[in-house]
Amino acid sequence: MFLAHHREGAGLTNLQYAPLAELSGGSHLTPEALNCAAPDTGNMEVLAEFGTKEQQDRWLRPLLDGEIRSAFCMTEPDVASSDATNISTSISRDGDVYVINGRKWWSSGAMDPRCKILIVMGKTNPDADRHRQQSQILVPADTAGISIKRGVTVFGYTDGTHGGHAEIEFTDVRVPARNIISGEGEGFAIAQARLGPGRIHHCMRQIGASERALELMCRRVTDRVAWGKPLAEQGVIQDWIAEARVRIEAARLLVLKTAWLMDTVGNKGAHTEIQAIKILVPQATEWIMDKAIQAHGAGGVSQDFPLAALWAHARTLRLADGPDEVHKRSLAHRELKKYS
Amino acid sequence: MDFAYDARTEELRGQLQAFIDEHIIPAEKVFEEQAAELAGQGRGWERPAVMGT
Repeated sequence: MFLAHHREGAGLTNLQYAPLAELSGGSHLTPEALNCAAPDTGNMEVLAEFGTKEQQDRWLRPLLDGEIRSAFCMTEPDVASSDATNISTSISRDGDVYVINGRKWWSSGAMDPRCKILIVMGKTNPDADRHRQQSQILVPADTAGISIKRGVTVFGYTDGTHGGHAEIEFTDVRVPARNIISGEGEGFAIAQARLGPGRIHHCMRQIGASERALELMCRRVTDRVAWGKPLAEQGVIQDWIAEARVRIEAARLLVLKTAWLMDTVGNKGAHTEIQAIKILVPQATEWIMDKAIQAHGAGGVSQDFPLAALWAHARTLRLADGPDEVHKRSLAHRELKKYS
Repeated sequence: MDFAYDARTEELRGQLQAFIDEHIIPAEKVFEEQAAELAGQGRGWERPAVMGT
């Protein structure tokens, strides 16, 4: 199905892709089975959009064919990475090569032995304009000087079967100058282009995850009897079920409207809505997962149901690709501008 | 305002739902078993074989 939106892929609009991504969100196996999983999705989009023919032949093709995996190395342990202009790994030119030095973490996918290529963001010119200091560069995973320090866990989950999240040290890592993506100073713009669709894809899948949780909750409370009647007959449980349905429907409509806007007026024109769903959907999902877990009793936090992992993922998405507060800050600024 | 999915979306949704019912849902339990086995062998960063990779 990938590249879903690209002319070389399925050629779907966002509005057509949204309901499919939703379906894929019901199981953590589906996005990967379709080769529509993060971080490969975003990396393939970057290569398709900004890569040279040579970069595409070498890395995009095997990614599209599912032969290799990739990682995206942006977030750093030493700076507040929610403000991407803080990203400070150095990428400095030395003749025909760039030399990379720095430390990254949350490099999702990099623990996988089949991860062959890293897209690394860093500063090529600390003196340039704030949004022109950074670049992105392709770094083969077996390049000398790359040291994988550890897998970082998410509420204790390694996410190992999905490539994990690595902490990586880059010490005098040398790659050919032609590995730069799109040119020096383009890193921030590429990051924006990459994370925009990534955010809406996460939200689409979260709607499907919420549907799965609601289904599990309804089945569970219909089957389990306590104090002489099924849990489903308890008013408080019915309140959770009704609330869950209302939140899913509201979230889906806003996600679809956002997808439609992205198709008709572009990502920039959909800015407010993209931020709105990034704020709304993980919160709605987290609430639904929490109630589904509660309805399952202790089983809900165990490995026998997917709810614990679904909850951990929903909670994490309130931080991933920008924390709620960053999106709210930016959305509020735009709203206030109308009155200044 | 039209709230219906278009024909292409409906067609793909049908195909995807069938794929999920036939291949994904039955694979979930196998995935967990294989993942636990890999973890037990110190190979917790590898994809379980059921993913076909």
